[in-house]
Amino acid sequence: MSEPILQMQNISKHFGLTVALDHVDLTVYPGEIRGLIGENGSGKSTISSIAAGMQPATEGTMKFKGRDWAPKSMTDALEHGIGMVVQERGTIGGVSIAENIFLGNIDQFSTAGFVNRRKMNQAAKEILSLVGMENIDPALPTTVLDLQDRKLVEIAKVIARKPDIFVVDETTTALSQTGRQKIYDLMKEQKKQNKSVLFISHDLDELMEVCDTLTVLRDGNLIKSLTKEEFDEEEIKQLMVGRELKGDYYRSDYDGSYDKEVVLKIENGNFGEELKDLTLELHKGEILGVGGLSSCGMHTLGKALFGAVPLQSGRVTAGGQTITSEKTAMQHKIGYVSKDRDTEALNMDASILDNISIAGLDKIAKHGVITKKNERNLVKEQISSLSVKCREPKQAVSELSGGNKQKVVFGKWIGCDSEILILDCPTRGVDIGVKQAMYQLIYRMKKEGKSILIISEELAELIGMSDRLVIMKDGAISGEVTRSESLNESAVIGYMI
Amino acid sequence: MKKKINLKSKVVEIVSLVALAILAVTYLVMMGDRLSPYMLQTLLNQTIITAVVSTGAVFIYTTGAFDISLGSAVAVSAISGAMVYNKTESLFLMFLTMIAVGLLIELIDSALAAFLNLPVFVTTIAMLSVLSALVKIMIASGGGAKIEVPRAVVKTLDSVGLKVLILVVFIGLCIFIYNYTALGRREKFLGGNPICAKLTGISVKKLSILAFLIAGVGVGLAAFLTVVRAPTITTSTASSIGMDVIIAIVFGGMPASGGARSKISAALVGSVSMVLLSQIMVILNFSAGISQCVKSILFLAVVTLSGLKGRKAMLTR
Amino acid sequence: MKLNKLAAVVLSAAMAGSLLLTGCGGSGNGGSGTEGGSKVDASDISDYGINQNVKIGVLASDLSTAEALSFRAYYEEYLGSQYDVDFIYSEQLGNAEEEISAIEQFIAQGCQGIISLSSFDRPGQIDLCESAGIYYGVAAGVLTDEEQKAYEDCEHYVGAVGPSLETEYQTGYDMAKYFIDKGDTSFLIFAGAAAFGTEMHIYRVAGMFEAMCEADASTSYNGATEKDDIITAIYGDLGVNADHFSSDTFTVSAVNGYNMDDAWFGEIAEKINTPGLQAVLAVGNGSDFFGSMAPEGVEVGSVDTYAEGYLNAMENGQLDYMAGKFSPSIAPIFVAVINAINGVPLRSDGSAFMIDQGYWIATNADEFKTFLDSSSATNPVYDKEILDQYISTPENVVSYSDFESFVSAYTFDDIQNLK
Repeated sequence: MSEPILQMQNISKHFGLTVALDHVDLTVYPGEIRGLIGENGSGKSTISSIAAGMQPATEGTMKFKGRDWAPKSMTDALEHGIGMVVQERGTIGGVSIAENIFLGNIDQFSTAGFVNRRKMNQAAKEILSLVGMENIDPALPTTVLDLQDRKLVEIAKVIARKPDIFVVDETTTALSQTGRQKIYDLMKEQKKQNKSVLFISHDLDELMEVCDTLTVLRDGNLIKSLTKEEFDEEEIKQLMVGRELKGDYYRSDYDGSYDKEVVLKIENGNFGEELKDLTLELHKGEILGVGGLSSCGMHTLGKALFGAVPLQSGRVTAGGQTITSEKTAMQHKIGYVSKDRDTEALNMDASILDNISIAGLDKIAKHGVITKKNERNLVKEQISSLSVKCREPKQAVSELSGGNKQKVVFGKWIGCDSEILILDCPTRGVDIGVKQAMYQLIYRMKKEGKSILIISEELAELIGMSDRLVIMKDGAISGEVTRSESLNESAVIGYMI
Repeated sequence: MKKKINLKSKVVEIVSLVALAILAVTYLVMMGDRLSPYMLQTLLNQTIITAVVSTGAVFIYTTGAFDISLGSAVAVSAISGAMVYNKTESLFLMFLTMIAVGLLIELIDSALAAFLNLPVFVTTIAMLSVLSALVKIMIASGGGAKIEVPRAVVKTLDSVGLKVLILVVFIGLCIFIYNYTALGRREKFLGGNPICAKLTGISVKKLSILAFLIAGVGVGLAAFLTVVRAPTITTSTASSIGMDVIIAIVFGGMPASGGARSKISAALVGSVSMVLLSQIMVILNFSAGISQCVKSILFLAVVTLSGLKGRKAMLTR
Repeated sequence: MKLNKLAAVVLSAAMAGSLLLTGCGGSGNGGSGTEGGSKVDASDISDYGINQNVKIGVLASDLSTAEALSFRAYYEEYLGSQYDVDFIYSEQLGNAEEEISAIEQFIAQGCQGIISLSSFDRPGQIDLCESAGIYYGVAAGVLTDEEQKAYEDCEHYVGAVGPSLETEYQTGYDMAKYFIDKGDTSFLIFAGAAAFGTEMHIYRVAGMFEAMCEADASTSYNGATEKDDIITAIYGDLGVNADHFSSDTFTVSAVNGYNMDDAWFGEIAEKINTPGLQAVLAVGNGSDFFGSMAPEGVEVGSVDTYAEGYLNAMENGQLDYMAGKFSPSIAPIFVAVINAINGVPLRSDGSAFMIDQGYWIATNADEFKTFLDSSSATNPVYDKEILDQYISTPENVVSYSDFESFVSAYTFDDIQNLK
């Protein structure tokens, strides 16, 4: 191999008493796609953001292209060759796409104070074509773009500056399969030009497929770097969580049977472009998977089944009764776990106790009075059976990690004796260890006769968990498969696009 | 790191109580020999109206909503009651009328918002105009610049015992509803995250209306206490209450944006603190202007301190 | 958390409890008054305000008009420098409840007397002062006859000095008569707070109508030609309704209220430009609203106060007749309150007094200037030399009749003779 393009040595980063990075070395070579993987809080985002000028290191040295590297800002870093697409950074809504692309650089198109919009839009078009968006008019306001396209604009902005190192941080979580493919293509293009990529993700499959080398971080420490030949899924998972994952990841059986009784049903449901004359039944003791591209309408389907979407026509029924609101859904023991955990599934201001007991208040009230004792019992039971890692039930839910937050959401619905659970992306942003626990829990609930509908963008988990799997496309069901050992992703993807 | 945050949030939680304690001690020390039963009675008189309205209003603020028309609501309720007394000479009917009108105003306020699908603060702003116009019309209809309940009649009600009874019973009831019933718990949850609340089967509209109705009881009681204190009602009667309520609630250590850190006790703690503060500044012979400034600075300090914890801090949505 | 809640409850309970325990107490601190009206032993007379500091609270519903400012300057700058008195002004009061709070605060500050310039609820003020044992007097106003009857026996109610409604009526009458005598027949009446039922404005308007009725018997307001009937009619109309005015000689238009919004100013602009209009008869500060808008030849009469700004108005022809308060007019009630505090209350047959005090009339700039100079805080018409004659000392106990004649001689010339 040639000389490294980026050398980071002994990098530490402290936030107050917290050590986010503890003397970590990282080296990137030209023509290399290096993956960074680790659980939340492992330090993978921190180290890449230091390289890209978002924040300085507390200690350590960096060399980039053989020189000392200390970027003052992200703009500064991008100017000199390291460009980063950030995890959560939106474009600005009120201005045009072109203006967004050239934000802070619009002067290059102006003469005597007047911006030459034609010239700017032309240049923007060229940049958009880098991410396959040449059909979009850059003069349009940014608000016309959906989340995925906005993310692609962000990517195009960075790529247009032809960085030597292209840093991608968790960007793919916001993208559908097609969007991801575009990024992968861009990465390969970088590699072809003997330039480098630093790719941060917690999707192991994705990393193993795309990267040449993988660096595993845990609790701010570098655990191990692996080359492509050394990639081994089980080993990497172990390195990430620091212990062996015992037992099965998904469920191990291929039984796929369930009761004949239909517990929840949507008949000819219509809602704009999201749901088109859709009919679907969930049976007692069934794990029903719903997959598709993010925009296929499956998330709306989840809400509609919970009575949270006013259908234009058609109806949702449970046990023969029509579900018209979240309240009637709850009366029929339906629970709903939203994919937007922090904004929709949890009250971040409140405690674990408040978040779990809220759905079960009617259950614990005696003559309308809620005693602290009953409430605590309800909550403590969920905390211990789900092993929520917390100090006390009164702890603020916002202080918990993603996985533990999700456990609280589960606890809320299990605590109020839900028989039917609609889970929208239940493992999104959840660490691998907790993920496994969730899969086991879902399977256990099935065994107890509960009915579970999993909506997910991760095909692997749908295939791994479902008794039956339906694929949606453009608001309708485009395919259905049943559980079998031979089922694989490529067989399913066909229905999606 | 985590420990630090917790320490900070503990400080924030008790900061209003510490402030109250400091103010109380300062007041007692400064009054010294001049402290008399009369002075304590004055404190009660100056506290009680704001405390009662604020206590009811905690339910509204908890949900993240905002009612700017509370002062005018008290005025309309007081005038209605006074008119009923002057017609029927029944104190009981006067009291009932005040409560009923308080409930009615708040019902209209919140139901309008629910049915027109407007943020409730919009309807309360409209209501503020309507109610203050109504105050003028009602007073003018009496043919003068004021409406009066005979002083001698009201004097019979002006007892410390009755006032404390009203205060204790109402606050007790509110604490019970707030902490030990599903209604109260849902109000609080709704304030923290309305989307999550909706997705947990909580009817935002229904709860919002109920919150306003509880506040309506407070409005009615405050109208009664206002007439007992000053039986002459003019167009500006009770006009400062709307603002006093916000300040009291924030001083009491609750974010004006509601949510998980809301608490009933904030209303009483804040009202007493405000009155003690005013009294202390009076004893220090501060002019009205300087007092106003000191209050504003303290208000900002409280908001800033409380903002150390939690997200959008103290501001309403 | 538990601890915090407990602390909150305990603290609040302690506050409430202490209030409850002590709430049944009687009168508090306050004046060192002796039994009102009884014979005074000269050696018992205190010397508050002379050799001992005294605090007097002033209830004010207005802190910004020329009148309010000149009153305040007289109390704080003149009397404050001549006597050992601290005048403590309230915030600008807006309702009865605020009056009560303000009095409670004066008590907390240790005031021994209160002078009221605020009239939302005078009986409420007296009640509170009586129960707190603090002396109370009304300046620049009087109580209604019923109120006076009900409260005149209160020990701590000193009395009231100001224009009676009869005087207000006469003030309106005199103003209208002045312009009628000049031959004017077309008037714009500014009825101000008559629209809100304010008695003093209603009586002034009634006086104006009465003067017109006298000048031409065909004149009537809503059919009424007599004082009491006219007053009733204005009450009923909540101000002046020009359609209810009829006369062979006079024409009248009217502006009511103090709305001060665009529509209201628009109405003023329209009515003041009515062709043939000769004079504006204002029940209040008419020159403020009408002076600058009045076209050439339209004269303006105001009831207001002697202040610099209005002198300019008169010099510039924006004001032609002024029935004005002179700021030292609030001195007599101060004298009475000080006497009460010092244990020598001035009682009218054992009761609180109510003495009529009228306005000074100026119809040209020279007169105005003389009156203005006599209203200043540096050289006021009621100076220390005069006032000292009416503050009791062991050597000189002032009688009520002396005091009454002193207050009643309120015209400019009469006061000159006091020296």
